[in-house]
Amino acid sequence: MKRQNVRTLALIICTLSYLLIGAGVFDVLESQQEKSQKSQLDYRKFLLMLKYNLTRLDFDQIEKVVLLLKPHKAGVQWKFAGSFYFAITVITTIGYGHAAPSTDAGKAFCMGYALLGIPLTLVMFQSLGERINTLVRFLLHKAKKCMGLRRPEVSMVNMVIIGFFSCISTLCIGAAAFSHYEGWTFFHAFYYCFITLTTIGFGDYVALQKDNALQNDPHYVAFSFVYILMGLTVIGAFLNLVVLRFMTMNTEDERRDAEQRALLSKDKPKGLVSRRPDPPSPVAVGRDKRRGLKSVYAEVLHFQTVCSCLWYKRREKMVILPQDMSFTDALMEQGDISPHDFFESGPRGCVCNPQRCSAISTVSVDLRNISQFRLFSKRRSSV
Amino acid sequence: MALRVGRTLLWFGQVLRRVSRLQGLWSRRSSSLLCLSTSQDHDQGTCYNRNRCPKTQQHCPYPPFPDCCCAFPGDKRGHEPLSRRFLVAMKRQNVRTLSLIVCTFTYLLVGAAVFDALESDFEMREKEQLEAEEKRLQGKYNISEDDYKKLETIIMEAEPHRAGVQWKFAGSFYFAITVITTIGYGHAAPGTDAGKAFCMFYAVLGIPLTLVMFQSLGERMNTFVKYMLKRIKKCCGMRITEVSMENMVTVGFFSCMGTLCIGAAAFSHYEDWSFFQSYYYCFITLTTIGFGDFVALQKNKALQRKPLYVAFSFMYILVGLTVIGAFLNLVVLRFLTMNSEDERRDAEERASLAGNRSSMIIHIQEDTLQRSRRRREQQQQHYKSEVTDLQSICSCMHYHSHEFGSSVGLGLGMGGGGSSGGGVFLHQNSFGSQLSPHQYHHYHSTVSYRIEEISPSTLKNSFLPSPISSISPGLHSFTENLRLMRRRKSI
Repeated sequence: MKRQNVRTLALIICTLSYLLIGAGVFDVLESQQEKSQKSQLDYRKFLLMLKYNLTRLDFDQIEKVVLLLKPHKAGVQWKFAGSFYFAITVITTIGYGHAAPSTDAGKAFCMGYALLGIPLTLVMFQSLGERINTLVRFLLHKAKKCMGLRRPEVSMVNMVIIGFFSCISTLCIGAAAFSHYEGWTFFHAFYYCFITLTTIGFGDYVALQKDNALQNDPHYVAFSFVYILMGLTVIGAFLNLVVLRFMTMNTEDERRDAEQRALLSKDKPKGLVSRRPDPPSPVAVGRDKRRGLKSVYAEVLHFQTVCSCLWYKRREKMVILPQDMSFTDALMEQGDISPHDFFESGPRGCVCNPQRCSAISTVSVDLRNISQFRLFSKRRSSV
Repeated sequence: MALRVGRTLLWFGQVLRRVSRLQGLWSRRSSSLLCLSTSQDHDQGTCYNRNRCPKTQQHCPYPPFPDCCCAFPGDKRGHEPLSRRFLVAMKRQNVRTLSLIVCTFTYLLVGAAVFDALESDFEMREKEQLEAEEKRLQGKYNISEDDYKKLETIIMEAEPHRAGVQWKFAGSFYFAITVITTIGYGHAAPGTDAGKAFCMFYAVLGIPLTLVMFQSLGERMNTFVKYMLKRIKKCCGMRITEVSMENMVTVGFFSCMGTLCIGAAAFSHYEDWSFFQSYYYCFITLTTIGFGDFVALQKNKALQRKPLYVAFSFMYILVGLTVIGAFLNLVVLRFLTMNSEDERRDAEERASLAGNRSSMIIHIQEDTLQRSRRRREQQQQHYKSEVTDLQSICSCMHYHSHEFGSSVGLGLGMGGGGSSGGGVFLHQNSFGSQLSPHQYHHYHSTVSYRIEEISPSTLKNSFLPSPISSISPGLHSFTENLRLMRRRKSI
C-alpha cells in the first residue's frame, strides 16, 4: 500500500515543481516580448485613434465588433465541413476555440457530445494504437529474421525508437503540408502540428481558416481531417507503448495487495507447519477407506505450504534432499503417511525447511513478491 | 482456410522436430504439454492405462505419460481447437478495433450534423448583424479601408493584452497548466519562437507526467472512497458491506457533477458569467477541451490583483482534473488496456504451445514403490531439475486451494485411477468412493501432478487458470483472468 502512496506523492511533487519551473521559464522567455508588443500596439492604436478622433468608448465598440467578427472572417464555421471539424476538436479534446457554440443549445449539446465522445475516442485511439504497435512488432520481427540477425526478438528499445521516429516524421509531414497550404513558416506549421496532435490546441494557429477553405477546398479539408486523426493515432500508439503501463501501475499494485490480503486472511486458521524429526512407521494400509475428503484436503493444504516453500527455496538454492515431510498432526498420528514413501520414490515431493517457511502466509507473501518481481522485470524488459 | 491448415501443420511439424531433437526431460516436458493440451479434449479416464494407449492399443513410447500416445504423435486433432481458439482470440482485438473506428466515425458524422443544425442559422444571422454594424461604425468615423484593416490587425493582436499581463509568473503558471494538462485555451500563446520551441519540449515531458500523475492520484482517491464507503456501509449496518462497481460509478459520477457545480457557482460569481456559461466553462476546462471562448482570470487584471482568486482557480482546475481523472480511471482505463491484455494472453498461449522451457506442464508420475531403485534414481535426476517446474504447479495449486476449496486437492489428479474428465477439478465424486487401500498407498507413492492446459474457452465454463506458460505470467494471467471475470462485476 505504501508503494502506491509514495508513487502518487512523488508524482504530485514532480508535477508541481514541473509547473513552477515551466512558469519561470515562460516568464523569462515571453514577458519581455509581451511588454514590447503591448507598447507597440498601444502606440499604433493611439495613432489611429488620433487620426480618426475616436474616443475610448468608440474604440471599445469597434473592438468588440471586430473581435466578434473574427471567426466569421475565417469563413463559414458551422456548415457540415466546419461542424465536422468542430466535432473532431471536441471529441479529441483539441479544442481550438476557433469556432465555439454560440447558442445555449449548442453549448449543451457540446457538453453531452463530449461526455460520450471523449471516452469513445480515447479507447479507439488506444485500441488502434495497440494494433499498430503489434503490426510494427511483427514486421520488425520479420525484417530482423530476413536480415539474418542472431536475435530476431523485438525489444522495447526497438519499439520506442520506431515509435519516436514515426511521431517525428508525422509531425514533419504535417508541417510541410500545412506550411504549403496555409502559408506559414515550416517552424510555425510544425508548432501547429505539435500543438494539435498533443491535443493542447491553443487556437493561435488553426488550419482551414484561410480563404474559406472549408467550403472551397474539399481535398485540403479531407487531408486535414485525415491528418489529424492519423496523427493522433500515431501519437496514441506511442503513448500506448510508453505511458499506458504507468497509468495502470497503482491499480495493479492495489490488486496484488488485495489478493495478498485475501490469501493471508484465508490462511490464518491453518496454522504452522510442524517439523517431524523422526520418520513414523510405514503406511497403515487399512485406513484408507475411512479417509475422507477432509484429511486429503488438509494434506493438500500442507502440501501447498511445502510447494510454496519449494518455490521459495528454489530462489536460493535448489537442493532436493530426502528430508522429512511435514504433515498434519492428525495424519501423522494416524500413521497413514510416511515421509519415506516420498523420498523413497524420489524427491519429486517438496522439501521444506520449516524454519524458513513457517507459515503459509509468509510464503504466500514471498510468492507474491517473487511473481511480482518477475512480472516487474518482465514488464520492463520485453514488450 | 488452406493457408490456416497449412500453417497449423507446419507449426505442428516444427514443434515435433524440436521435441524429438531435445533430450529426456525437455522433450518429455513438451510432449506432456502437447499431450495435456490435446488430452484435455479427451476423456481423461480413457487414456489412463499405463503404457498402453486404449485407443490404439499401442505401446506408449513415453511410459510416464500414457495419455500422450493418444495424442502424440500425429494426432493433429487435438491441436486444432487450440489454434482455432488462438485465431478467434486474435480476431477479437481486430474486431474490437474496427468496431471502435466505425463507431467513432459515425459519432463524428452525427455530431457534425447536429452542430450544423444547431449553429448554422445563428452563425449566418450573427454574421450579417456584425457586418452591418461594422459598416456602420466604419462609415460613422469615416475610416478608410486600409486603416480599417490596420485597426483590425491591431485589435486582434492586442486581444490577449486586453485581459492583462499574461506572461508574468502568475500568467505563465496559468499557461503552463494549460499546456501540460492539454487544456490549451489559447488565451495566451507564446509569441516568440523560443517560447514556441520551449513550449513543445515542455509539453513532451509534461503531458505524460501529468497523465500518469492524475491517474495515480485518481486511483488513490478511488481506493480511499471505496474504503470510506465500506466503513459507512458497515456503520449503517447493511448486510452486504462490499463496495460494488455500481456504487463506485455512482459516487464518481456525483462527485464529478458536484465539482462542476461548485466551479460553476464560483466562476459565475467571480467572472460575472451566467451559471450555465460557468458550468460550460468548467466542463470544457475539466475535459481538457479548452476552447478559450470562456477563460477565467481574464477580467480586471485578476492575474495580478487577486492572488486568492488566482490560487483558487489553479486549485480548482487541478483538483477538478483529479476528480475527472479518478472517474476515468474507474470507468475507462480498463478499456484502454484491453487490447494489450488480450495480446499478452495470446502470447502466453503461443509460448506454452511452443513448449517453452519456462512452461510448467509437468507430468511427474512415478510408479509404485515396486519400481527399481535404479529407475528411481534416474528419475531423481530428472526430478531435480523438474522441480523447477514444480514451482509453477505449486503456484497453481496455491491459487487453486485458496480459490476453490476442497475440490482442489482432488484436482491434483492424485492417484492412479482417480482422475476423470478434461478439467482439473472433476474428481470429487470419484475420489472418495474409489479409494482402495492399495490405491491410497499408490496415491502416496505416485503423486502425479497434472496441470491441465486450459484454454480461454473452458475458462468461461469453469474457473480454471489460463495456459500457464511460466510462473509469474501464469500466475499473472490466472489472476488476470480471475480479475477479468471479477472486474466486470465488482471491484
